[in-house]
Amino acid sequence: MSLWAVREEALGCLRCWEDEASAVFYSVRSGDTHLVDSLALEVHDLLMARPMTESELLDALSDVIEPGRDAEAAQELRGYLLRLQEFGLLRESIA
Amino acid sequence: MKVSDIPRSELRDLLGRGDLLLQTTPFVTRIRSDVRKLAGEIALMYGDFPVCSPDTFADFHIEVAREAGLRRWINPLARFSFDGRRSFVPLPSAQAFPMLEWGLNWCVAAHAHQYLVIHAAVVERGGRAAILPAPPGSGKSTLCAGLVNRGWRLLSDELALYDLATGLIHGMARPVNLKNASIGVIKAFAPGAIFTEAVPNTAKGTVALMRPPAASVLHVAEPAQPAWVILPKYDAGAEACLTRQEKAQTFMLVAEQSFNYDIHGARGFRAVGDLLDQCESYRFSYSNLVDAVRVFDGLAEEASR
Repeated sequence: MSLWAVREEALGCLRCWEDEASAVFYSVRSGDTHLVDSLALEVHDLLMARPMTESELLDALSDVIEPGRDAEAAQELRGYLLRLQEFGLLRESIA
Repeated sequence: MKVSDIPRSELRDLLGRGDLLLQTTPFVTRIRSDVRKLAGEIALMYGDFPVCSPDTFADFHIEVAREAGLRRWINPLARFSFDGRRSFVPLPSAQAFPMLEWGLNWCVAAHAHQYLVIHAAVVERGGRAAILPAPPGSGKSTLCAGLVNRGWRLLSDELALYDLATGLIHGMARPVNLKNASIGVIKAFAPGAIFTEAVPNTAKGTVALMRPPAASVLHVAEPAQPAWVILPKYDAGAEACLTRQEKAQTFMLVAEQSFNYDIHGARGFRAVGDLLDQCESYRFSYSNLVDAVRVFDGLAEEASR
């Protein structure tokens, strides 16, 4: 089972403004700046509270997942988390 | 002493000796040139700028020199040098003054890393700066020229210098670079404005420079508080239209239009974020300068209430 968390070096590198659907993230590792969407913000906030497994994250995001699409959502969430990991925002570790 | 106080022959001598030190606040630029007509163009465009004594420290040492040999006489070429090193390809000597301007822009963009240097026009009213970042061809300089001919102070038509320590914007109030159709547009909009001769067939098409308003040059040392980041776009036939734009989206454009964002790393990220924290962010399309000025004046009035 793997746990997802916000990378320590990513703290303070996500910037967002009130009532906006997008945010910007600066990757200390690559020096790149990424435009990220509101879901990334939500994932970031959830994982700042505590590290979570993918199924815990899915539960926490259930409000924004279309009913009956849980299996697809789980698969897409995995890809999404891997992309945020690639950006340098998140890290996956084995619990 | 100002450039306009120096007789033309003396200005030519100073240029020939490399002793013309122009106060291009916040920098000092030492200029050397043997291109004869450059003295006249510098006098026309930089007449209100102070001249420093030859022993003053200069940030940039630049030269616009005629190419040697046969090319001195047949279709003469001029070359730009920085700190004694030849830079860029030589251009027809008729383009010497635009080349001086482009070269000086490059000097600032490539070296002034005490600032976040953004490819943007900046105008100010009531102490508040409107930053207009945009890629070439967006109508940024045309809009800037229109505004500074209607009471806005010119900080820059090309380079916004964002002070990382104070969060203020500096400008150099240098000549405004106009291209192609915008030259005629501004001449009609501001008949009293002073221009260089239009130079055709440059890499940017036909270019002419507009002399900065004397009041802008006089107040060039006063930085301004950023208040708006506005992404302009000339759109033929469009009504002047200001629409809010997400700051995160604007952030990406400002970063993309910054010459040294990458050099500053995390500090650059924080700087652009801090800049947007203190600004309203808009997209602006226009086709008519009268309407555009009215919209900008409205913004300034609203902010002053």
